[in-house]
Amino acid sequence: MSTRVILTIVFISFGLIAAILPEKDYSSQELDAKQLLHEIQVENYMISADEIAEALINEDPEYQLIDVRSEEEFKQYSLPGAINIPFEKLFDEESLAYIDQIARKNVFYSNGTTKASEAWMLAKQKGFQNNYILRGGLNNWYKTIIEPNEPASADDVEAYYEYQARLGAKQFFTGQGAAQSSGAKKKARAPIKRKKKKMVAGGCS
Amino acid sequence: MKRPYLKLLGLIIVLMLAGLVFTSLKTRNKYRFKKPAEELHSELIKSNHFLSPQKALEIINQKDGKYLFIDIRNPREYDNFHVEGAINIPLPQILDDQYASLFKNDKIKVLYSNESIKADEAWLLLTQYGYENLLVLQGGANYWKNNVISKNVFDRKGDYDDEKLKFDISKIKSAR
Repeated sequence: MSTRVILTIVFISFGLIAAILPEKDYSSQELDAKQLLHEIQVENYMISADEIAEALINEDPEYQLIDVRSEEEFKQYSLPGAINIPFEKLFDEESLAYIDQIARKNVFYSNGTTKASEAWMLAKQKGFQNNYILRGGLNNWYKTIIEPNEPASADDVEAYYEYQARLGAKQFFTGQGAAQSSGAKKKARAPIKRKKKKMVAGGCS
Repeated sequence: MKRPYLKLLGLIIVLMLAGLVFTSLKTRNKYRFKKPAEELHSELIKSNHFLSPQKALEIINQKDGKYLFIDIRNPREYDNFHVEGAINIPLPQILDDQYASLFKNDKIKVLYSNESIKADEAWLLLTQYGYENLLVLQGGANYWKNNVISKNVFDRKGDYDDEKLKFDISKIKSAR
């Protein structure tokens, strides 16, 4: 056999191998079941009511609340600044512009966690980034922000401050609540930190 | 001395071929989703995959062999308390090969977690992965333990439904 024949064989076999190799999946963002299983164990996609309350009070533009309930439910009550993408319309073209983007953090919410988490799972399967869930939905929002429980022990400093922040948030979202707890009366608004525009030091300002 | 050289070359080519075919088979991801998100989405709109605690209790009392309850919590929680007759497949192991044949059998598998959120996520995952005949127990182990078992009353206005609104909207509205 001449070297030419050998070389031919080598090249043909490479060609055959290339043909056998599976087509590369270029929609590489799409997850597989194992990766999604990992995601639901790590639970990085759950955002607490407290975090959302703070973001809303600070008018944080990073978050976009998305109400996945029906139009009717949305009209009855919704969180400030939320837009409505009913679960049924999740994959509509107009919806995709919102849920498949990388600019903002979407926070899905529903009455509980279930509907929002189903929307999240579907979006995740498609490989969409930047989607999160309001943990406990509106029910938990009501329980923690609108009707917060006073901490049982006065010694728990962290719980105390959390409670103060919640009272402040409550006042912000309902316009009431400062008069509830004796000690909280004056301080109720204190935890609300509105972001002040920072002055540029120096220059010709 | 041309012959041995040729043989060696042939051997190398064969080995390379085998190796490449092997790796190509390996990269064919067995964990890829079998059901597209759009398909699952329209199924979710059309049908309900939840089992109420009442219905579950009927099934258990009748010892209906068509159903299999699967506890996806960790073994400690399972040992502590579980629904009668349930088996334990902790969430991290749910895709393991050893359970594949179980998920492929004809029984209706009822998943539950402490509540129902994790079980519902597992339901979606397994359905995306291609398994069928799966349900989720509403209210999960907590509701089962606190209401079905200890009080024997389970229909407290359907509070086991995670998506039920549990406060009065007018209260927030009037406060504004």
